[in-house]
Amino acid sequence: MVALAVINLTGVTVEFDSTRALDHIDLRVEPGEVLSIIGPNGAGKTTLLRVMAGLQRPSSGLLSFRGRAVTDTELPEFRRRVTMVFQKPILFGTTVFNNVAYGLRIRGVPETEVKQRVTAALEEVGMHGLAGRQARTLSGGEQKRVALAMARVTQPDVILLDEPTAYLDRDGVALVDDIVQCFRREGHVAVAIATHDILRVAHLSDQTLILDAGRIRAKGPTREVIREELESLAFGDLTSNLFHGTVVENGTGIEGGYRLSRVRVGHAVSIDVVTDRSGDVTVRIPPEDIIVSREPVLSSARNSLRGTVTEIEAENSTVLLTVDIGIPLVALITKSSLERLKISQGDSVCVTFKASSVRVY
Amino acid sequence: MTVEQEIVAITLRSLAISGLAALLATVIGIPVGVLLGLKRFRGRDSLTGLFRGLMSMPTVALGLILYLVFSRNGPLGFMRLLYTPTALIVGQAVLVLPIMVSITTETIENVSPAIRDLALTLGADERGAAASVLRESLGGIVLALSASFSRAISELGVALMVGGNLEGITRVLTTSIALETTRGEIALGLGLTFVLLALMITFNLLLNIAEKRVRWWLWR
Repeated sequence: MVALAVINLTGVTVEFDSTRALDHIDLRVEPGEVLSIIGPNGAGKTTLLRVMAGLQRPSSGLLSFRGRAVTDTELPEFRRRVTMVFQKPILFGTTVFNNVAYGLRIRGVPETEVKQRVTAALEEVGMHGLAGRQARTLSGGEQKRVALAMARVTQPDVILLDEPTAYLDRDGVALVDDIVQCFRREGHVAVAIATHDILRVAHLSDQTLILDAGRIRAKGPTREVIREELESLAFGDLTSNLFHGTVVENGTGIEGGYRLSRVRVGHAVSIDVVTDRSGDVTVRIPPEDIIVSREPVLSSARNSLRGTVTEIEAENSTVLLTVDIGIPLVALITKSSLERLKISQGDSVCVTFKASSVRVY
Repeated sequence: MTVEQEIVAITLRSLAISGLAALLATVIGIPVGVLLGLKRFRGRDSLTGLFRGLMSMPTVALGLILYLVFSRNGPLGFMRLLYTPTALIVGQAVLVLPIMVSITTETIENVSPAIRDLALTLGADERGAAASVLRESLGGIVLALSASFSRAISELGVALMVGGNLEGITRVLTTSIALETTRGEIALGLGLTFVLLALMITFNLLLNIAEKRVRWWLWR
């Protein structure tokens, strides 16, 4: 027997004047599932989330919640089960505490319980000390944390995150990851994350949907969809130097005040990165952050590896150099650097990059 | 009656007339402004534009129109309101109503979509979401009230035309200032001007304090 989808969209189309923002979208979101909705700006991600939140009525098609069509009369009750965190945090002009308490108070939760739950939610997002502050005087990242607490505290069945890591620093991004993982562990809350960053969702989601100009271009298990997308090069040079790996050692040093860890990528390559994570991770080494030299250079960078040039691809004034260091690493250098170093295919070179340059997902 | 007693009486009369005019405009203007800010209907843009246009209505022109309306042969002549405090209250209310409506509409329009969405997605129903929009619009509504009262108490045209500057009945601060100046009593005119300015500043300071209290109370 197939489990009831918590949210089901059937042939949903949304039109604004003559523009079609969503075009015949069919989508199922299961309880406890993390769904990523990815695509470029203007693809319809936010509109899709707004439909799923009951904030945007489809021009045609059907929105169902746990097998029942969401009609106008059922909309208020449906909205109580679904919470959305907006890309740009929106907060009421009052204290942090009152903002987080809003959803509970309108549900008639007793004030003593409100206090307990708000305190717990603020502690979870690291904002407990700022409960009495005016919410709009906080920084963008802090406001985002408050918005996450507001959504979390109402214990919804579905939580919709629109570009959840926008405005957040490194710690904030890790916090979002932790909260999503927390929902996943709880097992009954469905999470939908809209983002234009395919790399953010690599390890977070179970299912991925790729939107393009309001239409579904791909849909399925995240690992498969992302692999297909990377192979099709739909996401340009973001695909360069994207590797799956495993954290083999935490606390190998300190860089810029952050803790370093060692990640094994492939069979024989270990690199230092800035992360507190453990277990499986996805890393990306930006090609433009890699220094290529004939001999090892004396520098503060933690990663210096030797390899063989396997491919040289010239583009206008720049060159993409693929160096086999046990994994195929792409470095971006200028044409003049290539000529100065006199590098050709088959040459042995050194690649150097900082631990803090490596993005860990 | 001494000069001091007369000044106190004129000041209190001004406060009462303009205060009631602003209150009347608030009672009518806020619901109209909220409606225009929240709802989309045919003719809404024309109505909004009309209210905006009327914000700059010359007080003498409005005074003349109201004089014709309230005069013995006018459509409301039977009410015998001309040269009474009631005529002044109604006249000033009509004068400041467009200010009240336009500022409220603009504030609600600016606050509305995002706050409404936020309230709805946190579980509020449409009425609760509208209440949240209103609560977030408090600053703008207070500004509208401040602008309305200030405009009412400082206008001269309506007070002269429909009030007639009758001593002890419709004489208010602005008409007194005009009268004393034409009489050559510049010092008295200046004194009344200071009283008028002090009144406006005090009112706005009190309004500011009241706004903070109300905001706190609304989120209690």
